[in-house]
Amino acid sequence: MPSRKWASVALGSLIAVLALVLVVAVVIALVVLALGGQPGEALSAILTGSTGTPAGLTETLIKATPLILTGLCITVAFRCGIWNIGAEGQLLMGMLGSAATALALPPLPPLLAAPLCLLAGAASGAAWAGFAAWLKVRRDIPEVISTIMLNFLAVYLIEYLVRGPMRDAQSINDWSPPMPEWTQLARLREISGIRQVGGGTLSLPNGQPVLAFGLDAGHLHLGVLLAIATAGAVWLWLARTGVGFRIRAVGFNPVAALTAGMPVSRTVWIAFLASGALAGLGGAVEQLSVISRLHRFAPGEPGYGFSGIAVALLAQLHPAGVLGSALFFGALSAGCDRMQRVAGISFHVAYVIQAVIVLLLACLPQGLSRFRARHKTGN
Amino acid sequence: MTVHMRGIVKQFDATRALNGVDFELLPGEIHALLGENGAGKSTLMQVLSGLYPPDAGTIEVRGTPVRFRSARDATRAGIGMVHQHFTLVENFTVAENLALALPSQTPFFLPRRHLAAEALALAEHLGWKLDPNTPVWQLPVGVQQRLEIVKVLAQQPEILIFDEPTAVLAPVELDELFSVLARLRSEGKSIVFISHKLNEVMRLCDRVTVLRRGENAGTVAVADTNPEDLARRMVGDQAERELEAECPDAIPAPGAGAGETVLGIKNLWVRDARGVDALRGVSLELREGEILGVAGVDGNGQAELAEAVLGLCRASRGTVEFHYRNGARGTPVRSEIGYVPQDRRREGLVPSMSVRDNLILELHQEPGASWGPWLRWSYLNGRAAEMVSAYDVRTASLAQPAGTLSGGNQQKIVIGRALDKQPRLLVVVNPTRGVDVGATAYVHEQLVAQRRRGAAILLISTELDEVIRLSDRVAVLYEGELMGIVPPSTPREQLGLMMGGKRTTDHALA
Repeated sequence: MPSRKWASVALGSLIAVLALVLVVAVVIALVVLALGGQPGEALSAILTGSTGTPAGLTETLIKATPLILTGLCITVAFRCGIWNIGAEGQLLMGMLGSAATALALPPLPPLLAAPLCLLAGAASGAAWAGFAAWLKVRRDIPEVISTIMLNFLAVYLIEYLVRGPMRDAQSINDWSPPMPEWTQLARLREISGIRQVGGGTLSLPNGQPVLAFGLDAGHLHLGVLLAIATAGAVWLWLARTGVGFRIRAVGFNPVAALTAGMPVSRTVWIAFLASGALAGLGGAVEQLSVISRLHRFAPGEPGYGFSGIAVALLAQLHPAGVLGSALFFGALSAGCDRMQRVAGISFHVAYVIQAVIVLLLACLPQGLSRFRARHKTGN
Repeated sequence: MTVHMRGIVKQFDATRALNGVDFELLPGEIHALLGENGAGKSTLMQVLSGLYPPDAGTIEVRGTPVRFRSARDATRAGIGMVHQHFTLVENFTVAENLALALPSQTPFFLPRRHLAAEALALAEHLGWKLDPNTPVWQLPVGVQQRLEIVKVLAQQPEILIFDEPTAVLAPVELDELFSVLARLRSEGKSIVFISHKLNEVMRLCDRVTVLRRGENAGTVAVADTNPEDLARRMVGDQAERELEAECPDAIPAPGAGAGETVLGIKNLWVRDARGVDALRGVSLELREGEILGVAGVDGNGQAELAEAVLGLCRASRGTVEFHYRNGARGTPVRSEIGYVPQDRRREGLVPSMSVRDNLILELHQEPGASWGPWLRWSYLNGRAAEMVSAYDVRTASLAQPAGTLSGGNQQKIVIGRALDKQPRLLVVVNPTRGVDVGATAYVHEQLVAQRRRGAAILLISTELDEVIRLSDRVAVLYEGELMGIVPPSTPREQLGLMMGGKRTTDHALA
């Protein structure tokens, strides 16, 4: 029985993914047409830039990394019935916490410094979520409102710091000094000495590369592995531990959980803090691998926190699904970057697609079923 | 003939709720729809009231074939249903809820005064008082039901369906409801009365249709039948066992020596959500091996009493003291108490989680259930499987969502969970509400077995029969105060008076 179940789930997922890719391709083509571009050229650039070449695949993984972590952030929160819209702010605080720690640390062995900075980032994200958790548990203030407001505060806190106390005096720009080398997440090349893994490409008859069987290890950093491992850990945590069980029970029916003697407030605290820590870790990974200096963002940027909601919803709030959907959105983002360079179409098309996908999910009969389930009770 | 349903079939996923049911309703009759939980009573009437389209079969209303696409279609055809689970907006007032039932009378600006007057008039017609400006959440369940009935009557239906209306009512309220139903019949309305209580059917109805497992097990005039016959039709071959359950001999009292004190409540005051004193100076003592029944009309402080003992709400004055096995005394700890809450779907179950998960909702927090932070799923699965068989939960698998089970089986999960930990103290609130005859007998047996084991049981129930049958002592709550604690042999009239607010000093057990 289990094998048949897995087979049908796998087949269903495959069909769903193919349908999704088709819908996305059509939407991209329409948007590109509306912008006066060549759909064929744009789609070809997206494929090449996301999955068609080892460099593209690597870029996809790198883009997916913060999305995996923010997707997990949303998954943990939503599973517990916490509508944490603040992954973005928690991610920014993770950047800030890790950057401040990196700049404050004396030279240390990287094996010690990088984990310290990552921890600091996760702790900052958790602390930022902690405000909202406190307001929710103690003051009964809806977390949707508090986390949105905290997002703005995080943006402007960083802006203040990089214009003032943390500003790099040597630079004409408003940004912090670069992260010291010993705090950076190691790139695979530095550890293994390999430049490229695997090779060969699957192409269409017209020569358009579709899927490369290799990675450009030069850019790939350890954060990717960390994010994938974290997804596994969150899965185990939710499915196998007592706390995870309570998080799910509280998410579905807090009254019954309380009546059954579960510590509901403590469970909400744990889930909220863990959720913030995951987003914070995402920010720290990004800060210590891709971004070299802490700099200001416009509100809504870098957007990984908001995209995390789309990632988690597409994943049906399952940590393993988060891996898949983060890769999907990562590929979209990497592909749209290339599309902008090659075809001159703004990469913001990626956000349009993301929004369309979330809306489509909401329209599907099974879509967002987890959220409806709580309002519906069988007889 | 007012309604003629023929060959109605309704399938829900794997289960066939209705398997070719015929049903006739005559003008001006009260027609009982009798059957165990899961027999298809509610489903049949939900089909008639337009909530579900039938998969097969035809419906005629006053000779005209109809196909309802929504409840509104049924309303237009003069069919109104009073649901078991109320369809009220709790944050709205009585008048505003009435407005929802009267779309034609709600122009852009809500005619508040007019609606209020309408609500008053309709209620008065039935001999009730309703304050049009009270928010619904402040009303006790019995009064909410009156509003539900008024709401349906406002649409001036010719055919009224009552889905287990007595489940939430205390005896006094029951009498009032029955006289209202009789009055509606005398006005020429046709009434369907869904129930699984034989005595109510015998007392109130003109004809009765018995459903068993989605099929019509016979339609007869009440005058031509008797409870034994109906019970046999309801449950089939097992009728005799079920009959015993319906009217068993009083359960023999235990040896006068109930054991040590387990729970001591002294001068307990509790405020409800509105800040009103729901319990006012309740004191009682509960000992090992006894069942203390708490009777009373719904909404007289029962919920607060249970919650205060469980530590789910705070006492504004007074103490609840638990005597531990090792002799220590203190506030009760949740893990020491087995609890069957009143509202199983809201407080007792997580409907979207599996049967297994619901069975281990409490168990998973015990020391043996985990290894460090990790749950021992093999152990928990085993325990859940044991409970399913020990408490006779009818489910396709442990993985089935609990919300898809029938009401009786949901209740078995809640009760199994409470009993399985062999608690020293058991708090049970309305354990057989909305549960069929067989499951009721089962629940009662389990409670008696727990008493034999030495558990102290606080049985809070609005079913007076249940309290009298099971309890060693009966306490009566009225407006948050104890009217006295008396033996179960006390005459019913006296208990009725106590439930209506007359104090009785306790001679026998002082």
